Amino acid sequence: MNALALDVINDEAPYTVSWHEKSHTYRFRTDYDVVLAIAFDEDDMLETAESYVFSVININNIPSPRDIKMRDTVMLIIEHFFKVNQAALLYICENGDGKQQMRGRLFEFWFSTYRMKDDYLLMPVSIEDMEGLENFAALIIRKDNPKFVDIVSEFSNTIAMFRVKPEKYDQ
Amino acid sequence: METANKEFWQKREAAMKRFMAAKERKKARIAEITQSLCEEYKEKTGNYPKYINVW
Repeated sequence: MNALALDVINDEAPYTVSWHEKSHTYRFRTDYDVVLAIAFDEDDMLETAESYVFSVININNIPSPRDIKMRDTVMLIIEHFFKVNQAALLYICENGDGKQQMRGRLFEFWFSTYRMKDDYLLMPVSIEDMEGLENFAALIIRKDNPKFVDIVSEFSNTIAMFRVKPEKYDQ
Repeated sequence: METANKEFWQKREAAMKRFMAAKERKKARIAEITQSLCEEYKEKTGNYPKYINVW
């Protein structure tokens, strides 16, 4: 992955973003003392193109308040990721605490209010995995990606395959 | 027909395995980042954080 230009991001970002070498994450601290870590980890879920799994983790001692500056900083980091990487981004909601649907919806809402949303395709999906758990995921890709059609086709076909369940085939 | 069906299920299984592996990698990565964030928080404040949100 090509590293993001922090000086360029920080010219616009509401919060100052830094690189945390030890954990290989981008970090920032909000006005409410919430620390956010953002990771882009290469993955092989898509076969037709370079793809990364996107993660955001925040910690705090009080429940996180609604913070537009936090949303804008996260979206700016994603925007700069795509400026320097011709790749697809996969968002797989963490489902360890049962709040994955709420997080998936909030992420979709963030994206719907993003100033450059028309330059991107956000494709949210629900995937029932091998353990029968429902997972909320999304493909995020710039519309000017040269492999746009291949990537979207592969992702759509994969999701369509997952919707056909083995037990239905057996009947 | 049977060959086509067999191919379909093999492709589906391979794709599902890739998805499960991606989930596992994300889980492991989240655990690693969360630990690092919590340790830093404790060093700074003396306590572990009460709220951890993972997206």
